[in-house]
Amino acid sequence: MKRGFMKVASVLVVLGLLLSLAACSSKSSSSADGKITLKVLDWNTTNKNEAQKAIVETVKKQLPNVTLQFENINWDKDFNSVMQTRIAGKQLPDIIMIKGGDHPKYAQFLMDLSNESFMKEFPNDVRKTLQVNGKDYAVPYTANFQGVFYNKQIFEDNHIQIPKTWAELMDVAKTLKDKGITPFTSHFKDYQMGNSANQFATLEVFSKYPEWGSDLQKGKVSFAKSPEYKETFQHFKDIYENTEKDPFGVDFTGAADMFANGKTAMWIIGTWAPAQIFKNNPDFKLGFFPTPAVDAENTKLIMQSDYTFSASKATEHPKEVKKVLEILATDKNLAKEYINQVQTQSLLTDVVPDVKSDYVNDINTYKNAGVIDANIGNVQIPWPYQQQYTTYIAEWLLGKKTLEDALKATDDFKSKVKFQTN
Amino acid sequence: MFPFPFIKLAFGGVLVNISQGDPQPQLITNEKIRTGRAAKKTRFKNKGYFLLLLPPLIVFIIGMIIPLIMGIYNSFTDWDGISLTKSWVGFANYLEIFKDEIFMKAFKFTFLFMIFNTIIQNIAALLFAVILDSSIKAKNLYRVIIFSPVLLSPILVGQIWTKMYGDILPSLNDLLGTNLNFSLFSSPDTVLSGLLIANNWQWIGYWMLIYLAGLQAIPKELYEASTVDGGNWWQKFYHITIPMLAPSITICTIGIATGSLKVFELIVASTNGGPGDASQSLIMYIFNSAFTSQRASYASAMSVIFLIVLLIFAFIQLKVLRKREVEL
Repeated sequence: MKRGFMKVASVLVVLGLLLSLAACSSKSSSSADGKITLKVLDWNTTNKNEAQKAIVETVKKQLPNVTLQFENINWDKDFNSVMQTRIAGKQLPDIIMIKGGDHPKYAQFLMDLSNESFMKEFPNDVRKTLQVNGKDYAVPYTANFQGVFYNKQIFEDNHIQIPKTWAELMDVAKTLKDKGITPFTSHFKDYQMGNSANQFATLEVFSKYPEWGSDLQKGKVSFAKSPEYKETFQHFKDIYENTEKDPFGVDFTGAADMFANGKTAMWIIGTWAPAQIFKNNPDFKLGFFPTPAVDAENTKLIMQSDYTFSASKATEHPKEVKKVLEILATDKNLAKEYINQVQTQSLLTDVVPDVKSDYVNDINTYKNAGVIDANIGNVQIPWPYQQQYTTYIAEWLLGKKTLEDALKATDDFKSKVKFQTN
Repeated sequence: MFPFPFIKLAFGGVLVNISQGDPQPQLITNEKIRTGRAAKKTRFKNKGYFLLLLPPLIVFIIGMIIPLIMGIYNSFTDWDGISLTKSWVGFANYLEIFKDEIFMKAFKFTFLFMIFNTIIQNIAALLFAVILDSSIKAKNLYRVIIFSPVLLSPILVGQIWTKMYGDILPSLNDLLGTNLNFSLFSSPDTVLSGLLIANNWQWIGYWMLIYLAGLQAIPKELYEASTVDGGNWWQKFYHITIPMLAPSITICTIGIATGSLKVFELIVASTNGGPGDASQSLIMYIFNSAFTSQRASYASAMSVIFLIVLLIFAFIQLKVLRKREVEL
């Protein structure tokens, strides 16, 4: 071996390794001929290829030099860790799909859109629910509705009336149980406990006290002393006594399978479920009614701003990003195509989905009777806090804690929670 | 090419002198070793090898040492993972850990998981190795069957066992007309057993191979001598096999123990810490604190404590087990 060979070889290897590290980047890129690629973080899972295609093609038609590159993750499991690592590495994608309620956490890294003309497309009350400190950081895109989905065939066969209060819901459950039909579908293995907790809290707690979460932060109220939260926890016991045999062993796909095949009668979930139900059983007769509260006056349709599009403050192509956001905010054909694929509702005015199913008509009927925003609770009581107290509820249901212990543990956990300051 | 010039020089003197009939061999002084031409060539070659080591060393420092130091620094702050400001809080995070019930619960779970795993996997792997080292038919087939789960990803293993406990094994009840409770993942009392079964199913094959290799290194003469002296199978096992296997026992025990303490993917893919947080391992709690609950500095403090625990464990095991090793 020649003398200098080892030295040269090792230097080249080091350079090679370092260069390969530099190639890993998730920021946007622009090539010499003016073509720009913008990176988009997406967590939609319903018909995601078709939905993305619709956006990519529309953008390509209006902005020929801009290509969108989508990155798909799972909101439930990955969103927080992906955002954190990207922020730490200064590699935030140019456009980010952010779930309504998550904006306060990330606002400091997002582009301020308050003065953009396209924001005027949205009515004030939609903008207000997503604003952080009075500023807009996202283009609202879709909304989901949450409540009780039910098997219309089972209800018809057994002449069941739609319940308007929680007590009536329990009567329905008893009727079904006596006939050998499992009333509720539960998938406590994944996020359903958190979602149900948020639904119940929205109806029982936040309808009466819209500032309950802020009061909790200030120490004015507590879970243990709140009869409304006790009701919320109590609802879980009622469900647990009227659900399938092994709720902690079932996840979302298993639940959809059970419900679509008629093994259970009702499923407390949101409008992201029907797509999965129809995958299992395209002929399913699906109905919807709002989750009943203890008092009939609090029974309202729960709505939540779901998909919104935000932009990174540090993007290298702010002009193109704003143009893409403008397309999303103003192109109603694109919005309609998108919600048809994703089978959800749009937040753009006068955009309604083509999906012909009973549950869509039911939702439209209930929309007029009164809507409440699920994000009131989500913003004031952060999602990790909600997930943690559902752990205590689970321990209570499984007999490891009393109800009082569960409420007290929820209060004790407060010191570990990072509240979002609005 | 390398050794010959050196030997020629170092021993050349001796060879030459002996052949010349001189009874006094030439002394190889330290001076000669340090300044001889071959020595210089060796040092240069060593420098070359060091330069080749540089790339992985750089990656190791950038990828492991620097984050380790940054993590330790973060554990003394109140950083939440995404904000741009960090302020020093001293030992506050560490003090909070010792008052944290969830941490204690996760620690207890992980600890129990480790102890049971180490006992069960070690004994089972050793047993299988002994059985499959003997002269039974089709032992290669059995070795393949026992080893193949090792090749699966823990995520897959978690999914497989979820389905086993949820659907497949309960359907055995219908087949056999029994009413055994197979849903081990659905109750906080049985979830540990369920995870132990899944984990052992995956890893016994791996440690069995290490024991097999160790068994095959034991000289057969020892067993023959024991037979001559009238020893039965238990005496052979206890007085020959186990002491001679001591290095393998060291490797396996430390490997299983530290691996079990770090369990994460299996639990995420099967119970996700549930039901409730009955099966939340320490790593899962650290991960959730860092990313879901946005308490990066608290998670860093827990990681440091965990690192210290792991080091103490490995150290104790190494000390205890090395003493028992027999050198051939």
